[in-house]
Amino acid sequence: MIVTMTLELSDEPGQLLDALQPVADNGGNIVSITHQRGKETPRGTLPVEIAFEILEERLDDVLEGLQEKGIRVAQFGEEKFHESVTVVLVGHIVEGDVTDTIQRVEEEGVKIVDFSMAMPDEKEDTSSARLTVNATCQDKIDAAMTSLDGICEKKDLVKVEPIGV
Amino acid sequence: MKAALVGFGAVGQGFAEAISEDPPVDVSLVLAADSGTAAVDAEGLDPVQLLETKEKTGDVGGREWTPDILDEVEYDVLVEASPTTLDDAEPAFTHFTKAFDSGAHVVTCNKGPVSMRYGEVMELAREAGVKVRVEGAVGGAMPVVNTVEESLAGDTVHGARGILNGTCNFILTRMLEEGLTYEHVLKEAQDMGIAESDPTFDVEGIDTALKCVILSNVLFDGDRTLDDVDVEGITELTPDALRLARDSGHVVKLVGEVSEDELTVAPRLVPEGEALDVGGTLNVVSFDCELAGEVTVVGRGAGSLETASALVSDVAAIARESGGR
Repeated sequence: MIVTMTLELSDEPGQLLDALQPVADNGGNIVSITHQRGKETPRGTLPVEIAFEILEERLDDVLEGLQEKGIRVAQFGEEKFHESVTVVLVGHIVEGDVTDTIQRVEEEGVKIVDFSMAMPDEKEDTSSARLTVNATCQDKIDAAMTSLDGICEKKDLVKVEPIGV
Repeated sequence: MKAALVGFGAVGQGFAEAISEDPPVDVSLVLAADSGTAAVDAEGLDPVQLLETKEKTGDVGGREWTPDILDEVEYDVLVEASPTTLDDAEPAFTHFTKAFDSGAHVVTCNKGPVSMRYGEVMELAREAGVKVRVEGAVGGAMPVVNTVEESLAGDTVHGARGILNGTCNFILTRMLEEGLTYEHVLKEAQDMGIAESDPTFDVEGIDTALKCVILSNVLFDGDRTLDDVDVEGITELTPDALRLARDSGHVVKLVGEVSEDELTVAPRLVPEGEALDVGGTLNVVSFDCELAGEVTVVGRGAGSLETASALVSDVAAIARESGGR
């Protein structure tokens, strides 16, 4: 997952390095660092926004580490969707209970952010749909795709996925 | 270079035509056979005359063809251009073994033996100390196999993906552009001679799968067969599906993917403007290389003259390697 947080650091050498240590110690990967110079807080500290990639279960350790060092976390951003995949489905999508399909995919901890459907002219013909799945990490996307494969097999749908997935 | 040509359909005739004009290597045709007849002359047959005889009588020669005729004449290379058969890949496999027994190299556009019995074929060729060249079997005139074996010989190719069936690519391109149904475009393609009257081989992805098997065997020196491929065709696709894909910046293509642990053929979403986004009857193969990165070859994958040109190139390569006999 990707986490953004704003830290309040005193304007002294070595402070930033010290603040990043807990992230590194827990296998995190820094994505960006933005120094907000000129936005000094009334306490005289300097807000620094950092974004990093980290396993969900290690996040608490990072927060703990920061606390131990006496670094104040002013803002704690929500996790951001980092991974996305678009697939196209063909088959009797509506008759195959489309709500159930969506629910079961989302059970894997992903979010379906786009679902577009085209209905056929003739009732007995197949319909087509495109769905975009967002998730905080590739593992969840993979799990959702595996789940979708099973659903497609059961509901006799054709799934067209991107190359190299 | 003395050649025996087995298979005198469109590709075989294309080969005869090519060597009668201005071939890159002197080829003396000592045997030409179609499915029922054969013509033999140790001094060399006249390709132009063979083409005329075939056109007039429907037969290439006056003798009844049996593979044993391959034992009668001396030749340096067998050009195997008979129709692809699956399972035991006969009779082409027998033609191959007869060539090996007489110490002759094999150049082929027949997908059967090199997709169903690649391991056996290569083992027998090794024992006989001869070469088997298969450029014509994958992607017609497009240099696919030779790109791997020669141009990229110093690199490690991790895998390849591509569009290897012009018929499917034509159908998908037309369906997207005109919003027409699969059935409609298939009929159109049949009328234009782009699809066969029985299109199963193409539209079910089998032809693409065979080419992927051959590519995989060449890349990884393996012994995969059609049974090792996960194959899905294009028959279920709708114009709506293609349009929805395009709205998200993708085109749907029948893509074959080859790597050491994967061998699949299925309709895939290709980002618009990517190397694999080629339209009409074009074919394309993209190699994933260690040093060179992505290397892509695009061209006309089918057609008798295109495939014949690949056969001539392979014969020329063998002539070169064996010191221009």
